[in-house]
Amino acid sequence: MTKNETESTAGSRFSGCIGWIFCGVFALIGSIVFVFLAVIPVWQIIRAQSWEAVDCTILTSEVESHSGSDSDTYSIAITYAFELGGQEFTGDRYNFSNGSSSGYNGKAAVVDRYPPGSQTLCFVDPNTPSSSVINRSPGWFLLWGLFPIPFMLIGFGGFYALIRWGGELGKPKRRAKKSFSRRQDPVTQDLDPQQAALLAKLDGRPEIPEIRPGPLVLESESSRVINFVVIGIFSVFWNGFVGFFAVDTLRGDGTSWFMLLFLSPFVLAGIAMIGATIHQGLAIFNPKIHLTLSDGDLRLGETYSVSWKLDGRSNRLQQLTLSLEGREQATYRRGTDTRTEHSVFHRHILVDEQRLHFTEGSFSLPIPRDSVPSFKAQRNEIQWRILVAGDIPFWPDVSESFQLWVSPPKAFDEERS
Amino acid sequence: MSFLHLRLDRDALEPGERLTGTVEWDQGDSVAQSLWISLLWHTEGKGTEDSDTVDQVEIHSPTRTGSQSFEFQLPSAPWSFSGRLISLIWTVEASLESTDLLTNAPFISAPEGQEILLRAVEEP
Repeated sequence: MTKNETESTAGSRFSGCIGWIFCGVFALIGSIVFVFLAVIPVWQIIRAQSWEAVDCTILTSEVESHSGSDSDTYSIAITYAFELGGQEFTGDRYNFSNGSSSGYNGKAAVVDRYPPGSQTLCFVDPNTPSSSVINRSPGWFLLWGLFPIPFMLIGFGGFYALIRWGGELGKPKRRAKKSFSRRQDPVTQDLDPQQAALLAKLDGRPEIPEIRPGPLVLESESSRVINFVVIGIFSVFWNGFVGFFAVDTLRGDGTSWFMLLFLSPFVLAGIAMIGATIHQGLAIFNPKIHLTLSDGDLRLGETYSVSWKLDGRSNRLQQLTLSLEGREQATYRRGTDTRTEHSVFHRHILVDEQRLHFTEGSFSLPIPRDSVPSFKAQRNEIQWRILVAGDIPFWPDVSESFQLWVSPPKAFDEERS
Repeated sequence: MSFLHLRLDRDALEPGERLTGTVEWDQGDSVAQSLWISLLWHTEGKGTEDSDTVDQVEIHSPTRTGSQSFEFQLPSAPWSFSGRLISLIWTVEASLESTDLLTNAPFISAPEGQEILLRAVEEP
């Protein structure tokens, strides 16, 4: 290894370490805050459901003010006395919220409900009477538990990225002089195709899927239900988080216009997410197309037969288009972002039907001869796909893709001198 | 004067063909444990580089000066191509281990020895 390569490798290791430390800090702090704001309160609320209800007398109650760098925050400061097993105890917990927030009016209303000297029910842990609470119900304060989630996503998402693509980050850039990696064929020869594919992936070598001659049922590249669930969960988290801040700001003493202005793009994004979730939810009920190839061993320059079948309310489709597409896919890093670009080099309409009269049929799939076979490395790919597009009036359109693996013509499989 | 030269008999081949060539070297004062001749491809373009060493030949304890012919069986894929985002380039590289001596020779592996050009089509 040359000196430059040693430096490059050492530099990559250093930047890799920085990545692990960066993600570790986010994951650790996010997890600690999540435990403090979400896990502990939820655990306490669940535990308190079995606590004993006892009469207690309010001793003091007031809204406590805490000075902050931007504005003051408030919390409910309350003390009360109760008797359990002939012994006197005092408590100072209104609910299981850990911290203070900017809304004053809501807290003042609680304090007004519990003036000193008044009687109320409180809930006491019979095994540890020093643990007690007046309100054991879940409240808005639990939404604070959403606050650390973006930090955890950055941290743990970063760990995932480092594990999945860490090898690539640590690799020195290709230059005129480089050392070779030794091939490990004697090892991979004894592996089954799945293990060999996994090893090839880890090694950064191109992946070639197992090809089975004979009819092949194609699988859609994405699942509508999974898309809906992912978008839905993200939308719930986003809108819960943003909505909590928006409500807290509106309920606060003297609405901060700056805060409202700051929040408005996040609120708009949340509304767009709700729209996307509804759109994806409706798309679940779209007719589903099933494609079966006459032969899974696709070769450049050959023509195959594909049978198609529509499930669901196919009569709603006004137009159905199936096309063959060849495209380049390149993934690269820009700063901390990983981006993927596509460039289509082949497109051929296979089926273009207006007003479907049939729910099944077949079509020819001509793979061009003067093109390239499929290619899949870690960051660069040549993809061949069948695209399905269906137009449904006043409803989300059908849009699916089915990836194909196209091999070189059989003539190139044989050794040639 | 140390040197490492690589010569391919043909630089445009079809997938599955045999690639042959000769490597010549003069190590000068340094002594290498091995001379490696490698068949590999790499990508260039917009995407982060991918590469793979497909085959290697090792010459143990090479003499101070010498020449050696070699041959590789080309795989059926990937092919040499050049698109809007990605180019795939095949090369043979030779290196004298533990020295700075390294050289490479690009070649085409595609039908009729012609690199495939991928032209972008317009989005509908």
